[in-house]
Amino acid sequence: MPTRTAQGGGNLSRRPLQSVLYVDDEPDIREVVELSLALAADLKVESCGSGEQALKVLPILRPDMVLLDVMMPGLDGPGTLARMKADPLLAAVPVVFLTAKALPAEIRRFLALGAVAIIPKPFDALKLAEQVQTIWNGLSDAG
Amino acid sequence: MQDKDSHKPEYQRSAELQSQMEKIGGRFLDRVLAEFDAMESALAVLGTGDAAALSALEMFAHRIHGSSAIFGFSALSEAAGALEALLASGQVQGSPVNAIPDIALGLAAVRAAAQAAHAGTASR
Repeated sequence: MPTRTAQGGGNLSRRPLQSVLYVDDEPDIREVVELSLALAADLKVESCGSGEQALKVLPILRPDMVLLDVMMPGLDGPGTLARMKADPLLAAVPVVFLTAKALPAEIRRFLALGAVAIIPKPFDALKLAEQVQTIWNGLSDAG
Repeated sequence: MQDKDSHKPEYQRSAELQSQMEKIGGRFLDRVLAEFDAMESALAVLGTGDAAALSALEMFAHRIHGSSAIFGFSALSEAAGALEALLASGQVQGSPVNAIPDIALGLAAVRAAAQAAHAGTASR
């Protein structure tokens, strides 16, 4: 299934994607995503295991983009995004959802919440870095 | 690691990723198999109207559905997806007690698929 993206919005700079924070409660998937994104040269990847942790580290890390799992214990992906949107420091950071909940109605809901794109699970680990880069380039082109 | 690896040809980095994923996939299956006792316990208290038990089962099925296919365990992903759909259905949400036999069957199918996947990785 292709990546779904919103029209416009997000970080409109034209500089290369340099840093990403991945948030997922599943440690094995965090490891896979870190390895997958490491295929993209010069991309710094950090990860954490919950929405609560993400909100703590985001002001420190200030990543170019956040990749969020949707269904997590505690603060889930949509809840984390809502908290980011309410914080002036974090509101402009583009958020991409990685989710197995990628039915059309859910995709529309996630985009309406402010996500810039949805990458369906399962994703292809060999192509994830390229997908993320394409989303970033799309945001830049929109600016 | 990125600086050290970035000079390697793409095919080499891809092959290394594949190899790493096989190892991570094995650990993923170990973790999944270790969770079945807790899921059986959740199923056992489902009849008492324990919302946390239903939530735990839903989270378990969802996680396995989404994650296992990333490692290529497609039969496991399908079994977990079927269980996730059942747990989200009106039949279960409306009356979990009546759906317990079906949920037990679904959970057993997920366990069997996980064990088959584990046997497959062990024989590699």
